[in-house]
Formats: sequence, structure tokens, C-alpha cells
Amino acid sequence: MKITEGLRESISVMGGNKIRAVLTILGINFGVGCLIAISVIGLAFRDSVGSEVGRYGSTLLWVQVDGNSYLKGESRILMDGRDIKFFKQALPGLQSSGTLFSETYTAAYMGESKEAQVLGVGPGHFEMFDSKIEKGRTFIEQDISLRKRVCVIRPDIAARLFKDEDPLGKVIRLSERNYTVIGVTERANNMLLSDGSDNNTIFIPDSLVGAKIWGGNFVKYWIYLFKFDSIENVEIAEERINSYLEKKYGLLRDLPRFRVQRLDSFVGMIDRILNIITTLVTVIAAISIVVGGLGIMNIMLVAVTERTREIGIRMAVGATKTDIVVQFIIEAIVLCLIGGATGVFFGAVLAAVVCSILEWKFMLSFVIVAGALGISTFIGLVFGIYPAWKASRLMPVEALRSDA
Amino acid sequence: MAIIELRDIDKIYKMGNIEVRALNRVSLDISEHDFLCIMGASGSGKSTLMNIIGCLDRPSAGSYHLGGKDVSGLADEQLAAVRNKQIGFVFQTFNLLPRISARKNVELPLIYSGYSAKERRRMADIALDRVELSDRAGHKPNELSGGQRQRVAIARALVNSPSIIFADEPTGNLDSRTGLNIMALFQKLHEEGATIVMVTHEMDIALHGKRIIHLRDGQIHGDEAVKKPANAAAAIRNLADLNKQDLEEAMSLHSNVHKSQESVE
Repeated sequence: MKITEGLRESISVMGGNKIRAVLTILGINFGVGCLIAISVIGLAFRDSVGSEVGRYGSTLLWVQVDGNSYLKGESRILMDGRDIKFFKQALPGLQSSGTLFSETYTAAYMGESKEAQVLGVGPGHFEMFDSKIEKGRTFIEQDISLRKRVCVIRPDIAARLFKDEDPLGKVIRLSERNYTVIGVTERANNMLLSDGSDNNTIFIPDSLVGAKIWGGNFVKYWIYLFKFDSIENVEIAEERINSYLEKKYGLLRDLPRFRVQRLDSFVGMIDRILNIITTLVTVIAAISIVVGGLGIMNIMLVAVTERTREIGIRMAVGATKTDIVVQFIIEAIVLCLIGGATGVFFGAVLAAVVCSILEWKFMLSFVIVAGALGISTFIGLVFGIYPAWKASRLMPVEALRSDA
Repeated sequence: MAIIELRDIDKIYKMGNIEVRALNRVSLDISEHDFLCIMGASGSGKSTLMNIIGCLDRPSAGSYHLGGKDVSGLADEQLAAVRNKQIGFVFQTFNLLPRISARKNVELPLIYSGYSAKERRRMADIALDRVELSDRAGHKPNELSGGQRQRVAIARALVNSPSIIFADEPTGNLDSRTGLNIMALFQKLHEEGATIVMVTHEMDIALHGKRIIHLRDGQIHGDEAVKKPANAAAAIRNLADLNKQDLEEAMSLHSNVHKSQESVE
């Protein structure tokens, strides 16, 4: 029997029993959908991480107090201005650096007010986090060193406080003090790596926040960020910072007090987490596909019993055992392929929705689709063989005698 | 020349520990262009015999030559090819596939002989024309009357131009008049050159053939030639000429047949 005949037969059989066909393919459908979704989302995620790392050049490094080393309630040692000064001198290839202080204040302008996150940052901050300025300018060295009361604001807070007015040069009130707006940034994208700001954030020079938090001129830092020109210099910096801090502050119960983290190793960690998630989903999908395959086998066994007389008729007019086997295997494969194809569709739709929400690039490769359909065909083959063999084993007379 | 030669055919069914001997050393020659009717009470082994001659079942012992070729030792696949090319079957319960149209049913044997879809359709239409059912080709079996269904089944048996047509109680599920029509069709095919082997338990059906063998307890008990076979076509013409009262009388001649219900497939 030709494959085309088998296909035509299968479709006519399924057309006669649509609900059964739909219920039968659900398992395969779900499994394949999961596989497609996770592989597309995984790919898109890696792509987005890759492009962000590309943006930062993966040469970002930060040093922060390692909270894990301290007992609860134990007071922590922070870095001070001298440490930063040392770093700036001792680290080759340093392009920019800065720190982050975060507080929440009420921002007010002409009777409008809004709770806002206030972030104290250095002059290199906007470059480091690739935040573009839409209007005005960013901080310059004098703003920081002279502790000028200036601020850069995000577009949402600008719109909230200033409506249609031009915010540049206007004065907003933050925590009993006035700050002049010198710049408005572009909208913040939903990035994997961010400074923790959103579209309601107000940036002020870190010296001001530091002084506010530490109550004097002597600013301390719990986190400090560096950006370098090359990955070699990142490695040098990691080593030098570690040995400097260990020599100066010593170990705490044999544990370092500070932790140096590199963006590239951070990405590797995210990758490992993603791998674990991918493995889990793949296992669930595999189980679902196998259970779906068993469902197909079950329904094929029922079909063989129901259609014993048909098998007898076909044998009486000249169908060989091979013809019967081929017919039932094709039927099982067609069921699985329909399940697989609809699974590809639903999985791709799910992935497209997730990607569009997270602003990731949606990529559905031919290899993934072909793989999913290949798996479906394989499952149909594996779970179709036994029922098909059972069907072909009948003698024509016995099959014709059946009442079914 | 004998197209079928059976020598000492035994068929033994095992039912648990009990062995049932359905056929006991049956030897039979059927010549080309014969119209043989096999008669016998139920349980006499007539269907078993026909299943073996029709290659649907294997004998337990004995030899069977079909067209000069020994088929008793053929593998399953080769037997299927014999059924496909040399044998046409007509069953009491029609055995049409309910899902597909009359034409597609007729095409069924051709699928297994590897004809193209176009060729199949052409051949099926010719076969349907021979049974005078061209106008119902697109209908499904459940849209056809019993007689029409049996005609579709006969067209299916004819479509691959087999050397022999086997019919197992072909009129058993039909009323007597429709049955007579079917017999007229078989007689027409016979005149056109077909070799026909028919199983029946009704003498007036068997009398349409040229030769009758009687089977009892798995053995042949009598083999006789029919001197003047009944002419089904003429009987139908006579029926058509009669008025209603005479028609009923004429019908009663044929109606020691119980009027069986048409089985719904």
C-alpha cells in the first residue's frame, strides 16, 4: 500500500471520529508545545543576555559587601573614599566607575507630588548602564565634587510633575531641599541588568546621598562599580581588588568581607539557572510525550479491535500483512504529527507572547520545528508498531467472522 | 481444464482440547468457466471449504492447486497476492466499508495491486457499469438498498478481472426478488466467461448453476450436473409480466426463502 493511500485513509478515519482524535493527541500536543516554548524562550533569553553583555562589553565588574560572611546584627565594614582613590590609581584600563545609593523620598513641584526612588550615582553611571539622555545633560565631575544640588530624572516622573512644561532648569523639592533638573533620560527598557531604576527614578550626585546617609563628609560605599576597556584588565582588577581588600580589612572567620563580581561570570550563573529550568521543562515535556504516546497506543488498540472486520475485508481483497501494518502505523504517525504540529503552533504562540512581553527577540528556527515533528513521527512509529502488528496477525477468516 | 484441483483436503479446528474435523479428505476439481454451487446444511463444512478454496484459510492437510500452481504452501504475502489478483469474493453480509463511497469500495482491491488513483477510478467505473450501478457510485453503503450493496460487492469482486468469483450465500440477506436479480447478474457474468463458485443452502438458488455438490459432515456426498439451469433473467421477465395476483403466486414459488432482514452494516 502506498503511503499516500495510507494518509488518505487515516484522515478519513479521523474525520469520522474527531473528538476522539482531538482527545488522543492532547498529550503529544502539550509535550511538544512545552518543548517548543522552552526552546524558543531559552534561545531568546540567551540572545537578549548576549546582546546586553555585548552592550556592556562584559567588562563590568562590581565589588560589594558580602552579606553572607556576617552574622545577623553584626556591623559591617564598608569601603571608603581612600579605597576608591586607590582603585582608581591601581587599576589599569578603568573607563568609568560609580556607586549606587538608593532612598525613597517624596518629590514635589508646584503642588504636584509623587513618591519616587532617588538614586545617588557617579558621573560614569549613565554610560555604564547605557541610559541615554533625551534632554539636557548628565552629571559632570564638578556636580559630584562640588555637591551641586542638581538632578537627572526619568520621563514618567517628569511627565507627572511637569505635565507639558519643559522640566529643564526647574526646581523640584526632595526631602526639604531643592534640586535643579539638568536632564531627562530616555525611557528605561526592561533590561536584564539594571541599576535598579525605573521610569519614576530621580538621579542625584552620589556625594549628596552619601553625605546624607553617613551624615558627614566622609562617604562610605557598600557597592562600587567599575567598567574596563578589556577583559584582561577585568581579570587584573578582580585579583588586585581582592588582595587589596583582604590585606586592608582582613578575613572574617576565614571568609572575605567583600565580594567581587564580574558581569561575565554573572551571565554564566544565569545560564546555569536557565539550563536547570530547561532541563526540568524538558523532562516534563518528555513525560507528557511518552504518556501521550501511550494514549495513542491505547486508542490504536481500540481501533484495531473495532475495525477487525475492516481488516478482514481488506485482507480478503488482497491486502498483505505488511499493508495492514503500514496502514495502522501511518494512522498512529498521522495522529502524533497532528498533535506535534498543533503543539508547535501553541508552543510558538506562547513563546511569542512571552518574548513580546519581555521585549526579547522571537526566533523560531527550522531545526526546532523539524525536531519537534521528527519526535512526533518517532513516537507514532514506536507506539503504533504493537497495535499494527496485532492487527496484521489476524487470519482473514477470523477477522471476517468478527461482529464488530 | 481444471482451474482448481483439491486433493485430500482436511481442516481441523482445535477448540480447547476438542478437535473438530470440518473437512475430511475432500477432493474436488473445478474446471474453467464452471458455475459450481456447494450445498449443505449449516455445519456441513461448506463455508470452510470455500474459505480454503478462496485462500482465506489454510487446509490442515492435503494439496491445493489453483491455475496449475500449488498454493497450499504459499506464504501469507503470496496468498494475499493470489486473493488480490485471481479471486473475487462476494459475501452474504456484503462486507463493504461503511465510511467510503460505493466507488471507493470497488477500488479497494486495486489499491493493493498498485494502480494509480486515476486508473482505479476508471476500472471501478467499468465494474460498476457491469453491475448496472453507475448512477450510485458516489453513495455510501448505508444510502443503498440491500440489492444495490450486493451489486457493489460484486463489482468489487470483478474489478481486478479475477479468474474465479466466490460467493458465500450471496442472496442470504436479500428478499427473493432481489435475490433473483443478483442470480441473474451472476448468470450474466457466467455467460461473459466468469468461473463462479457459490455456497448456498437453498436448492432453487443452487439450480441456477451448472453443477451442484453436496457436503455433509465435511465430506462430499454427491456431485451432479444441472441439466437445465434455471434462468433468473427469464424468471424476472415473467414476474414483470404477471398481474398482482399472479405475481404473488409467482413470488411464493420462490419464497420458501424466509424473508430475511437486511442487515445494517
